[in-house]
Amino acid sequence: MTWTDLQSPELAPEVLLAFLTLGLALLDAVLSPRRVSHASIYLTLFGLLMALALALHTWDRPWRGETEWLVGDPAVAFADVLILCGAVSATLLAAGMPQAQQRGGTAILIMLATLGGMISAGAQDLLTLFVGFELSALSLLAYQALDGKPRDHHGVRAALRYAGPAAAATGLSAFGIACLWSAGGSPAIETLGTGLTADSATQAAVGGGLLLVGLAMRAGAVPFHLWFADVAVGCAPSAAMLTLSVGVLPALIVLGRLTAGPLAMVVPGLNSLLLLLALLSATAGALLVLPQRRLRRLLGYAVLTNVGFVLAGIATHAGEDPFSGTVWMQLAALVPAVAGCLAICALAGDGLGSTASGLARSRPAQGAALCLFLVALAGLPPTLAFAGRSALWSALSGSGWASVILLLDGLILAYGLIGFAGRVLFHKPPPVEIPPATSAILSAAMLAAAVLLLFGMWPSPIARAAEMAARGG
Amino acid sequence: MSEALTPALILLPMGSALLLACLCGRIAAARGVAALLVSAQVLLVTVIYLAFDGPRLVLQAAWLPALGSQLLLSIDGLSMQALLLLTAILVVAVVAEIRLQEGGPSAARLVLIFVAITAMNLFVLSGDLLLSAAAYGTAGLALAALLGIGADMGGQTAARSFASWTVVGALLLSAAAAILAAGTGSTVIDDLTHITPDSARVAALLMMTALAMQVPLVPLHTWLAPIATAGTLAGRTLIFGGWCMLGAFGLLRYGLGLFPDLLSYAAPLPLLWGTATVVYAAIVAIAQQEQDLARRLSWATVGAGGLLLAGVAGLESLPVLGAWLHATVQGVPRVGLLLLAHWMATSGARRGSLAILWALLALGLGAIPGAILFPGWLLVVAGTPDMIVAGLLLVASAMLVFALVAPATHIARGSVGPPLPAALSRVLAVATIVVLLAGFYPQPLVNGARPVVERLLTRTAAADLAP
Repeated sequence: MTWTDLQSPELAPEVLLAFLTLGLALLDAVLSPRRVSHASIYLTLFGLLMALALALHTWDRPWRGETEWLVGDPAVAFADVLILCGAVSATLLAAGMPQAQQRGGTAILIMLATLGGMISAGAQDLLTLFVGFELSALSLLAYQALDGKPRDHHGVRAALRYAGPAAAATGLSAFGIACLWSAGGSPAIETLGTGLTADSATQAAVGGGLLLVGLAMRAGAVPFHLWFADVAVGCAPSAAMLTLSVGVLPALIVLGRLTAGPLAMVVPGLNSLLLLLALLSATAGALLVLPQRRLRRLLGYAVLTNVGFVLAGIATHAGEDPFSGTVWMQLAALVPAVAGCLAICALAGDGLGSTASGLARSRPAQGAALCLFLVALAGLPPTLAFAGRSALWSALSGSGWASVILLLDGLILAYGLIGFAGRVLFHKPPPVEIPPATSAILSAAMLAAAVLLLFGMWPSPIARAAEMAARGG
Repeated sequence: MSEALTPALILLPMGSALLLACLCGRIAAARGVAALLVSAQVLLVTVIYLAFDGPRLVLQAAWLPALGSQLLLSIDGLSMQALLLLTAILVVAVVAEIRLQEGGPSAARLVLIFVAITAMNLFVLSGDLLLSAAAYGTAGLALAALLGIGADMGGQTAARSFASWTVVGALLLSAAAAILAAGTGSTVIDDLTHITPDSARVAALLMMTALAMQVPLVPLHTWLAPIATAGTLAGRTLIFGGWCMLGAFGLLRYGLGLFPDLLSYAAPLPLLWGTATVVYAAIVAIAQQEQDLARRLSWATVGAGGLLLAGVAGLESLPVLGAWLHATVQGVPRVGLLLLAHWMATSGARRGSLAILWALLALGLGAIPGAILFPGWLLVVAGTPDMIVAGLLLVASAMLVFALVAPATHIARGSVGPPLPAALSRVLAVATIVVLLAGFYPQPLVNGARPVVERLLTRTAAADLAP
């Protein structure tokens, strides 16, 4: 990569984030041990917002630029915006938590993880993809472990639960990439399916399958979902949000890109395989939502169901380059919905037993906002998620029984989430002390609610950007 | 002028909800502001009604380009009448919340009333199926919350049940829109003219199920009876007066408008379904205890849904027009009876004047000659092609009238309880006058709805002629 490459506008968010991370790490090293302050987390927030502004500058324009390692087009810009929005939400949640003062240095990990997620989403070749995933996974693991309260070890336990699947995903992805490279003679993603002989095709299929499993593990799809609820419950809200933003989202985006491109040629029956994963994830998630009484665990399984719906969107467009706009719209709704739920978790007293029961009586605005986020997770109007889910039903209309099962899953999920919202609205609140609201977390909740409602009523701008991302410019 | 003002039918209640949300915690101010905003809404609808001179497209913009969905607002005779009724119901709901609700008014419930009205107005004005599905879901969820907030355990259970049915309806409606979009590339009703038969069958089934829940029709009616007896007054008023009427509107606009050939193909199934609903509702209504006025009323509502379907299934101008007239205007006496039944149940009041009032409204709802519902009912029954079915509808309607009027004798026994609250007596007086006097001059209603119904039936004829 040359200096000219680095100056190209399509790479601006990544380059800015890399330099800021470096600068912040140097500052942290030079000033350590330093007095306790929020400076580090707010500097991180500033850096992420600048990167987000640069990404937003280009996200709905038809352009395409390529460097040796990274590609820049509307799809990657859309992915960058989503990942950065998630990271900004995670940073706001971190800024509002009391332990942020003691562990301000961990904020650098947010930037590193975000950078890794963005690199993997825009990777031109399999090696860059691997590097991006590892950068985000390692930073994320460290952040999950360090971002909890110093004396309780829930964060460490959650990080250990995530470490297993992450390590397995790394191994499988590395082996899969090696097989694909060996079979095709090049790590470039675009040339993966070309020039294969009968022997190398088998090798490529095995490699593609392993890579697919690695990505499914990172995305938390069933049967690799066992870490999902534990991370949602055990981690601090900011770490849980970061897990979605730089762990799950990039995996789904890369899966979509590869499925729409060369992976469909390399792995026979890929769309059926993905549809099976989608059905399993959506069904298991929806059924597991029903008995939940705790908000964080409910959130974990609701996200799992949504991962299933996203996979269904990817599966319906397997082999089409690039993949469907429905996926982008679903992801665009998922990020603020989860961010909002986690913000309310943090505001409502983030104990492990938090049920948010009767929250609307003790804090009406927060209770109403939580109901809105639950409605969004259910894919119902008047939120942005309704548009994404409707687009998914349209894409699935020719899929026979799979569409019926997914529609039933949508109904079960909505039933479970609306039932939970009923407890938030109608029940008497338990006599527990609720901590005072912090402005950073309130901002995260308000921003998430505003995005869901405004774009729910007027989804046209996001839909156009998603369409452009789907067309690739 | 109506074109310029019509978008305000969405923006004004939406802005009202926002304003009232800002006043949460200051209930005295919220009450005053709510009264002002309702007056503004009434004024706006009156001006639009007076300026209305025919169907108009008032707004068109891309809403969800991927599905060809548009923010398309249009106004015609049907939607004008529906808007008038919704505004009347809004007034009653706000009065019920401010003056009649046990425990006093709540700013949160006032916000939800306006959110629900915004969504219901959008449902009525929208010319796009997906946008209507969004309005359906939003209105349903807002009404469920309105019904349960501040209510007792029974009200909360009823609200949960209603929310579940609404969610199912919204998902089915959106799935129907998505299927049609996949086939035609659009969800705008006027563009959906060449639907492939397979897509049409699935979409029509999903849509019919969603609207049958809303009307409601047996066996998709189980959410209604719990709401009749529990929940907040404003929520019950809007559901009994507005939500069920929207089901009738949707059945005409989307059922008849989009799938006339399927309705024709499925005949006589819709007619039999409608008739069975009326007969079943009449039998169950009579079987209810005489003191259980609200439950009898809920069964009369189910029966009215059946009559609507029987009329629409006729696929002729007169029965369809009759079905619409009957379904629209009954919101007024139904809401009056609901409020009266609730007040008598909670206060234990019994006396002759209440019995007369109950009997008058019940006869109005039962479509006696001279009342506002009579022309619609007559057109449906007289327009039914099968004499046996017409006879069944006649007998079942008489049973429903009897089920509603008979408790008047029980109410007339004794003279106990407090006097009628002033707000309730005014609402009931206006409702009774409208029900009885408007029946003598139904021409404006007929004139408003007839062109739209005939236009819908032209599509039926075109579908029949198509190869």
